[in-house]
Amino acid sequence: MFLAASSYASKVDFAFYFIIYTSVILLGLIVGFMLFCVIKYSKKNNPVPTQIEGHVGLETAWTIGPTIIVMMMFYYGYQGWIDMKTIPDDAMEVKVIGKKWSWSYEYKFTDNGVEKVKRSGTLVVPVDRNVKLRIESLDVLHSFYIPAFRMKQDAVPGTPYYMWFRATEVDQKYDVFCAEYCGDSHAYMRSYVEVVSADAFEEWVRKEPPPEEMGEKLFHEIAACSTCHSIDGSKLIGPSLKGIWERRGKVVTDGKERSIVADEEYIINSIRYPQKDYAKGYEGVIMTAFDETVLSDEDIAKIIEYLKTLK
Amino acid sequence: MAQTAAELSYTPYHRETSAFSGIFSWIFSTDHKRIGILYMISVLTMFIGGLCLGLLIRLELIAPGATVIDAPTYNAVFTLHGVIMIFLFIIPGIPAIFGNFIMPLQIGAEDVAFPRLNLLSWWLYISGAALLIIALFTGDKLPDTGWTFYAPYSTATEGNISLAVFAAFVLGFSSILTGLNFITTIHRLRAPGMTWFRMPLFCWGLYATAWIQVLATPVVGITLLLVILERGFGVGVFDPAIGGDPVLYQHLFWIYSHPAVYIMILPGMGVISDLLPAFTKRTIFGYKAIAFSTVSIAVVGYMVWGHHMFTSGMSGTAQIVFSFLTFLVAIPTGIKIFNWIASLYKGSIELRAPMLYTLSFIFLFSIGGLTGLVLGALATDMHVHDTYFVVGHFHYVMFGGLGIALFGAMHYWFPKMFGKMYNEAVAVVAWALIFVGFNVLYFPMFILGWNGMPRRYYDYLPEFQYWHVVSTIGSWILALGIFMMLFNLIRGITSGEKAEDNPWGASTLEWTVPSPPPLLNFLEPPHVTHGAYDFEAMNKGKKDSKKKKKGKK
Repeated sequence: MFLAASSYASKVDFAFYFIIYTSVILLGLIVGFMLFCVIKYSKKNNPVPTQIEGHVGLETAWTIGPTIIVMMMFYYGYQGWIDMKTIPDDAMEVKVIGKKWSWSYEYKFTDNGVEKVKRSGTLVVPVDRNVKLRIESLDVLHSFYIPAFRMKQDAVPGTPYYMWFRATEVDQKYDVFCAEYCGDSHAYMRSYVEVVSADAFEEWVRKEPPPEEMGEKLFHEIAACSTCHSIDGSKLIGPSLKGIWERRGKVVTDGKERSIVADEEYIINSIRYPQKDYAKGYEGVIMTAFDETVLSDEDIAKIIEYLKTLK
Repeated sequence: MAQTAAELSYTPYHRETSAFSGIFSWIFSTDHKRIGILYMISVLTMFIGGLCLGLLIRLELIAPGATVIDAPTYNAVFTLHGVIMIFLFIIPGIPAIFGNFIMPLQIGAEDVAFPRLNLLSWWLYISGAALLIIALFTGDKLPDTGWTFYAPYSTATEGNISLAVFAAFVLGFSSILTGLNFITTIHRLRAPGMTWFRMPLFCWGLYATAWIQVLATPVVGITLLLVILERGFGVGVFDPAIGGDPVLYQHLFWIYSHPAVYIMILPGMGVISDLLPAFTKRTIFGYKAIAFSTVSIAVVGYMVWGHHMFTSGMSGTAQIVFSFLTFLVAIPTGIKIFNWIASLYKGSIELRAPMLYTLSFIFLFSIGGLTGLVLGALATDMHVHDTYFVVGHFHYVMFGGLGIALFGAMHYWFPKMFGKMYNEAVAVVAWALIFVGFNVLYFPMFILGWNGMPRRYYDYLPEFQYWHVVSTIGSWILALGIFMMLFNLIRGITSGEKAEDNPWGASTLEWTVPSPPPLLNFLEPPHVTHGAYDFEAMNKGKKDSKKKKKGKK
């Protein structure tokens, strides 16, 4: 079967194969007995049926037998799960933020005694280290799912939930999906986990890219504006932002049309309060609002630097 | 066969005159048999609609990326497929069609306890269906939440949710009234001598179902109203942005919708328990064990809803308790399966079309039930929850269980309902296509799910394509089989051979009346002297009555 790459994945797989193999045996017995009867006791082979009303011994046997089997299944299921639910105290915390339709990640670290936050569109983690995830949602339900780790937790707006894992294979990249239906681009709400060595991780987390490069990262990965806004003029869920800087255009505000220029103020407003002005032709399309906890003023400034480059 | 004068001169129910004529003699009829036929037509029409949407889903998924429809349309299509199949096909399904038509005959009653309420149920069903169709053609955007209407997505989306939810609310009342009617009928209208343990097991299935319908459906009714309140008036119940709790919605929804799974499956299990003796010519093995397991599934089934929410953030203790209780439900289900296969032992088995459906039910439902164990176990559910594994599982349980039982019931009671016979050879070919197509369509979903393919995905990674293609091919085989089956049955009604009163040699009471039955069912009031599957007593009774007739001559 496919790879299992977290500390508890093998326990999940054990429970799975225990249930599956037991089931295959049971199903084999059921089908085998059915076929045997259909042939042996066909109308041709057995024209006179025997009336058997029941058998207390058998009834007891197939009540108690399955009870033992399912209790074993329950136990193995519990065993794998309790590992998932017991978050080690020494785990490094990463914030996972789900929104329509992207995942982004925040790391807190200290650099020369200064508290800093690193943000990323890819979940980069060090190998063999316990990682605790604080999973949040900004809008509707999402579900943070890493198949290779056998791990899933819903992202619920209003309440953070916690999960943890320890990646066991270094230099690997795994898929991250959203498993809870969340609207038009649910199937595109994907991301990656990158497992790197401890040293590579320390280096990565401290590296700060130049502003326009960070703007590009924010646009394409962290805030994932690109899920709905293309940069090549094609229409996605929202209008394309190709050549947006200082472009003249029409918007609808409170049902009335007006002309605007896409300057700094307009762009900031569109990100902070997207439902105030709708670009003409996109009335009623709901965009997630980005407040300061998600995109700081500096972040937006970086995004604007990047938008200026989209000619 | 000797026929009495009364039998020769009787008028079958569908030729009986009433105050209305033409179509009105049907849609305003309070005869349980006509209402059963009305349900059959409307439920199967909805089924074909849902089936076409299902084919469209599979066609879209034949390749990654956009294939035939865009993402918002796809989301609306799977929502409608779910809503139609669950609320308009599976939940009413067997109780509304065969419960109505057959159950009063089986217990020796002239009709259900409240015939006018029964007609109202059908009208509510039709109103609910009509509201749903109106929801498709009004509003800015099609409903796109999935059949579960999870908040806060459902309370915030611009999709036309309120009307669709209201449709489900109205359908709930149809279900409640049917349940109420059946409980009363089974308690009050059993013929003299028809004790509880002489009842056919189909009636036990309907009885347990009816209690769930009456007790659980109001919860979802209230929940759906709360969704409308939140959407329409901004009352913060589920959306945390206005002070609500989205996990509360899931609890309320599944408190109904998990017992509803048993509304769907218990009548199907009842059908199977009736069909087995008819084609093995021997009494069912462990009648009481099956009857009690039916009731215990209905009771324990109330307390397992949380297994739909293991990843929702529910407390760990609750997860353990719900997982444990879920495994407990597996036990009575297992007991049923073992009793069914034991009922084949030393029988005299005839592989007619209904029996083929019965055997495939046991096979498919076993797969559905056993894969359910993977979902009930905590560790494995964390991985396969909300993946194609779940999609495969519930199609095996719902369609492989209830759907196949319904097809079996359609073939089994067909001669009683219409007084005609379908073509057996075509029926067997159609069954084979359905059985093969079903497995080719749904089995790959287990593999996809275990490998991490999430459900409700419009697009997928290229590595998943192989099994998606296999699954889509299966959908074509299955659909071909279903259309062939329906065609064969319709041809049976129009130009089939005349059916005997008891073509299968079955032992239950409905086969003692003429096919099709007269308006008030029994030419002479029945008096029951033996259990439902007592073939020896039945044959002895026949001989006795023949002797009597001879004696008279």
